[in-house]
Amino acid sequence: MVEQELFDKLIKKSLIDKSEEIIPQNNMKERVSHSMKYKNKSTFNTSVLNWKRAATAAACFIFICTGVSLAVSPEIQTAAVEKVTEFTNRVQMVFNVSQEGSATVSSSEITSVNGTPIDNMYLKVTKGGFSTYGPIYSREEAEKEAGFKFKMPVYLPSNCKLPTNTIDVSDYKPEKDGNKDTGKHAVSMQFDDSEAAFSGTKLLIYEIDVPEKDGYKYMDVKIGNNDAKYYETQIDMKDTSNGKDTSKEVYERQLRWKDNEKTYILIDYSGISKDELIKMAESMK
Amino acid sequence: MDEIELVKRCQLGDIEAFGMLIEKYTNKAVRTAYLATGQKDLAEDIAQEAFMQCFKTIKNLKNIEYFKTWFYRILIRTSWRMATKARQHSQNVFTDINNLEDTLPDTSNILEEVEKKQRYKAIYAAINEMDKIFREVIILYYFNEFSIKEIANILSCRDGTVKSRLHKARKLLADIFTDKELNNSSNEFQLRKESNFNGRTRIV
Repeated sequence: MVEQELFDKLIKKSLIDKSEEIIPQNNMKERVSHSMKYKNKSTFNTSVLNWKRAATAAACFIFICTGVSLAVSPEIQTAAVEKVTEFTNRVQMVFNVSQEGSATVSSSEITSVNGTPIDNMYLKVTKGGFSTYGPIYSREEAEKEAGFKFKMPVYLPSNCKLPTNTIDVSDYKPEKDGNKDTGKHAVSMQFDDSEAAFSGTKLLIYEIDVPEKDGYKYMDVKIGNNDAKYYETQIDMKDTSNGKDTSKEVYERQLRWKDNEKTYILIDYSGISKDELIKMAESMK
Repeated sequence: MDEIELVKRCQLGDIEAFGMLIEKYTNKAVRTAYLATGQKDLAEDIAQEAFMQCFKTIKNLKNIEYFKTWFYRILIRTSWRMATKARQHSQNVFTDINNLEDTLPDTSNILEEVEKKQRYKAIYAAINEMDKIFREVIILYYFNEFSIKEIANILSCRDGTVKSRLHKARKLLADIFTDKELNNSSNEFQLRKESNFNGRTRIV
């Protein structure tokens, strides 16, 4: 019994002796209080993090499900392809390049847009008889020649600059009577030094109502509050000039809208995006 | 203000009352955590975490007269969890003894004191090497002076289990003492030069 008491006493003393090696600080209250505030913040962060993780997981799940559905369902595959190609135009054309480097394209040489033969607007215009005169070196002079005031973009993408060489003004003569003066004009300008066909960025302003291209798929867009049409076309050009037989792909992006009864058409072959073209159009003054 | 009143106020969200409970329990809680884990740098963090857990869940405490055992349950569980997480081993007691011998001057009175200290350390070292189910029972019974029933409540087990563990733990400790040492009226005793403990051979 005495042994047991002694034994218990020894154990107790050894534990007390060991425990006295550490002297608890007096700031436990403050530590707990501070830590609780911090934990509350991190709980919020953690919940945000968890929410983000959940959203990412959900997005991945939807992506995988979509992929699996597309892989197994022919109907969905067809619908998806149709959706993707809804606004995609593809033109095949054959053209000849003259010695000077300018392209000549005739209606017979354009084979199709999306597999359907078309009557090209440019060709109709050309056949109708726009006769260009100039050169005209300033906007004021061009407006005087054309007989109307037009707008030009204030914003220009980095690869563009305001026309410094010429602004072309053309008389429009109707197709059926090429010699009769209609008094209608068109203005065109190039925003780079490119002189080759199907290159650079240009703006066309027509005093006449220019119809949309037949067979093309247009997308409705907004320029400020005005309605506009946009299309993209991949042009597969086959060069047969001078006995050659080479192919080249060009992307044409076109934005067209009406302002003060004039038709404005902004065309780009240099790779400017749709958003950039809209930004240019919105900055017109 | 008695403890029950403080706990009631804490359940109503009274932070000041909780501060008073912290003041009351900090000393013992930090030291219990230290004994359980053997890690000084962790003991205060464990107590802090246990107090935070306590404040968060005190509203769920139905029998407020059991606050003390309830709090120690949180403390013990937090100790094991954080000690495992920290993945640090307890301080080596024997290294401490050697350091102590190296630094103390060679006078007989001091040596006596050193011997006592060495014995206590050796006993704690033996406790510290026990499996945690025995260690927690020893600490709660001898250091915190809880009854068998209270320990059973803290560890969520039966009274019989606590008794059995306590008996086994005492037996393990008794193995390192000789009868002669325990019979010494002046409580002076010598630890065996070598003892087999939990299947391990140690030099003490």
